[in-house]
Amino acid sequence: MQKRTIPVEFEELKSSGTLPSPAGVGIQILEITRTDEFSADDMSHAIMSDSSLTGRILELANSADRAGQEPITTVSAALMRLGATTVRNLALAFSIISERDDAACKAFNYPQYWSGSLARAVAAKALSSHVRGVSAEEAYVAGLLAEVGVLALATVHSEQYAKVLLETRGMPMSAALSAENEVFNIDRATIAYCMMLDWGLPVGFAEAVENFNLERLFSEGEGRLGSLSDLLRFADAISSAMLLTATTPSRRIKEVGDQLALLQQVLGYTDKETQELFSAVSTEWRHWGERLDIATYEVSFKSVLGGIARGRQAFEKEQSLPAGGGLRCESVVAENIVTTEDVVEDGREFGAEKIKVLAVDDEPVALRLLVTTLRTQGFDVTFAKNGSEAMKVAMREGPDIIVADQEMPEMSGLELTRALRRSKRGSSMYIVLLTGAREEDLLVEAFESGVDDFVQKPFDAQFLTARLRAGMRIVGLQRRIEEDRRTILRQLADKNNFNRRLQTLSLTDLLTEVPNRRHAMERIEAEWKSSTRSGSQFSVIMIDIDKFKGVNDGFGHDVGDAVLKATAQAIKATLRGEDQVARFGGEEFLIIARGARVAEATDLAERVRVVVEENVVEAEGFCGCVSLSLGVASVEQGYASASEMMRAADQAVYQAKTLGRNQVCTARGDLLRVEVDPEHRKTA
Amino acid sequence: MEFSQEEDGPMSQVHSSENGGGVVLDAAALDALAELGGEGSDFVQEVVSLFLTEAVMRVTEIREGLDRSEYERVLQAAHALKSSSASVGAVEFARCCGELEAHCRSGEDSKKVRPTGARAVAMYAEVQEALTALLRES
Repeated sequence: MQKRTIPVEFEELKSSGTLPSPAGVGIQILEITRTDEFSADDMSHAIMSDSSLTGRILELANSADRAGQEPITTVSAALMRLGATTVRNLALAFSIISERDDAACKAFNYPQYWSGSLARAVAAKALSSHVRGVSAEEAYVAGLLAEVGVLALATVHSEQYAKVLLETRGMPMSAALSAENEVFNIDRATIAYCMMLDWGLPVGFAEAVENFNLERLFSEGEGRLGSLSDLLRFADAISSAMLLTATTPSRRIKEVGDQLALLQQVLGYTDKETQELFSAVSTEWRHWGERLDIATYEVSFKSVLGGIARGRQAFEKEQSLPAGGGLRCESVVAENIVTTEDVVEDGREFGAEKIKVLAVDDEPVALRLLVTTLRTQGFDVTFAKNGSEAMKVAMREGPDIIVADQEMPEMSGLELTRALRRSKRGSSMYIVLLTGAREEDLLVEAFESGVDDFVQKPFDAQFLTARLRAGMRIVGLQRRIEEDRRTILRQLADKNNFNRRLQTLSLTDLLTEVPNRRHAMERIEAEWKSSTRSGSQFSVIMIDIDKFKGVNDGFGHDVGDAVLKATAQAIKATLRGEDQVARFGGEEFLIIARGARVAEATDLAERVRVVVEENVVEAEGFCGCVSLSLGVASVEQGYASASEMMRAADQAVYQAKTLGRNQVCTARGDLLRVEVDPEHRKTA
Repeated sequence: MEFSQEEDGPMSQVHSSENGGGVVLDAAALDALAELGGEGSDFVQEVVSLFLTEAVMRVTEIREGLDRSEYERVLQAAHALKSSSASVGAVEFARCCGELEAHCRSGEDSKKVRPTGARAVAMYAEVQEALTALLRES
């Protein structure tokens, strides 16, 4: 399979530095696996340096239905059983989840996004046995990352995308895609595709995810589950059913209901089997939610069915209303948005600047004292009773400061620090270790591991607070720098986007909406260069509308404009994918035909001539057709320069005019000897 | 408690010890604790109860560690008890736990582990009694 060119719009998103991305071990794994011949040993070492990641991979490797197989307990065994690529992709997916930052776009409902993604992943895994060549783990990763394009837009273009989300709320998926293209010149499907490739996932995988984003619904004609994208479609229906809320548009509910019915039919399941599938998925969803710190809740199949039935009723009611009539039942934009009221509430929370502290100690008495001391001093305190619990809370709550006891069984304060520093979120937290009297020898190692400060036990409340306040000044400064950096990067992304739109505008003819003369000249220069370099072929077709002045004079400029527009569109519709039409002057157009020799270009010109000749233009007081005179010149004819070739094409048009218009003439490579191709001669 | 040497009822105000000669509970530390909790709160009671629950397990660790010469266990328990007991005002007991921890850490003083450990266990009985009395009074 051929990789496509990565569009510049994606490179711009990427350079914003805010795209969702793996960190820590995830980055290491990306580095290790950049080349095809990476060592599985290196990878398993990288994974094992992160114990929670190791745990998640082993758990997933063991949870798939592999009857009769021994459970595996080591990363290298997982590599053997699942293959290095699968393990790598799992590691990346988990690393992206643990790096999630849920605050970038206030209008985007991040918790719901992740709940939905996890449900889709679990559902995809459950369905994977029905698709040949798709492993359970692959399905899981695909489900988890399927809508990463939406996440990327929400994170990079937060404010602008918030508007797009609100405007397209409840509208068909195609509307969302075109709104994204309109505003950002790129959509969720392309972004997801590019991100997958960027992370080194296989092209087939990236294409499946892209396809799912372009078409969210399984179509009835298919009859069977044939591909990873179909698998994602059904998994999405299951996960959407699990996450139905009171605000889900009724159209979407009906759609989900239809998809589920289709799924049951495709799998040949009875109602009971479907219910079993559903409850298995929801049980696993809850389980993984706990492991990955993603919100889930109890869902019963019965309540989902009830919700769908109510949604259908509401939908039919809407349909019977005159205003709602004629709505097409396409996929509807997901409900990943927070309503405006929520945004305001969020803002209030952001304004309250209480410093969040996480207190960690395995000793109940010490922990209680620490918590009380900190609360008395006005901090907003959460606590954890050991290192791994602290890790979880830290990732969920994002405290500003962590005060941890050094001596804890299983995971010491130092080990906790190292684990935190490996993650993007944890890297900016201010970490204070509480140490005993005899632990000075620990200092060097601890500072190297990323500890910010020490306080000796037993601590004095005032002293501890003073140290924490000092730490907060540093955190505040860091945060301001980080905020500035983000603002600058966002502005840069916005500016790039704006500039590109300006550029597109400056290269587009406003009346006919095809490229203008400037754009055409740039393209011809570029084509000429590439043709002299590599010997590639291309031709130009110069076009002039016959007797256009008569239209303008007789019917007015408005009609003239309508004729120009209609002609441009008719020409455009006739072209092959690699050809381009531009408005070259008043009633002049130019076609650049890439790869075409004289003969092909002449044929193309003739096709255009016929199409326009038969294209009826209707405008105020005018109803009729116009004809074209066309002149063809080709690189093949051996011109010395691009401008010489253009002159030859011009001459050929002139020739066509003198021979009676409405015909194609081909230049013969010699400016003085423009001849008429007898086959294409036509009298006007 | 098999090591308990205290036969009399709880001493109400002055908590003196038969094992260290000093007071069992330091009033200043308890005052500091009460101050931290703020007026009218039962913070002292809460911390003391936490301590009592926790300490029973730690002292059992010390006893078993001594019986089986598993000094690492003794060390861990003594370390934990050292700081938490100081918080509830059991300063003498805290000091004893500190010594016990130090003996466990240094190989040379291993002979001292056993007697110091026994002393700590005995002292704990007093501490427990004094704290229980404190809870009952409030």
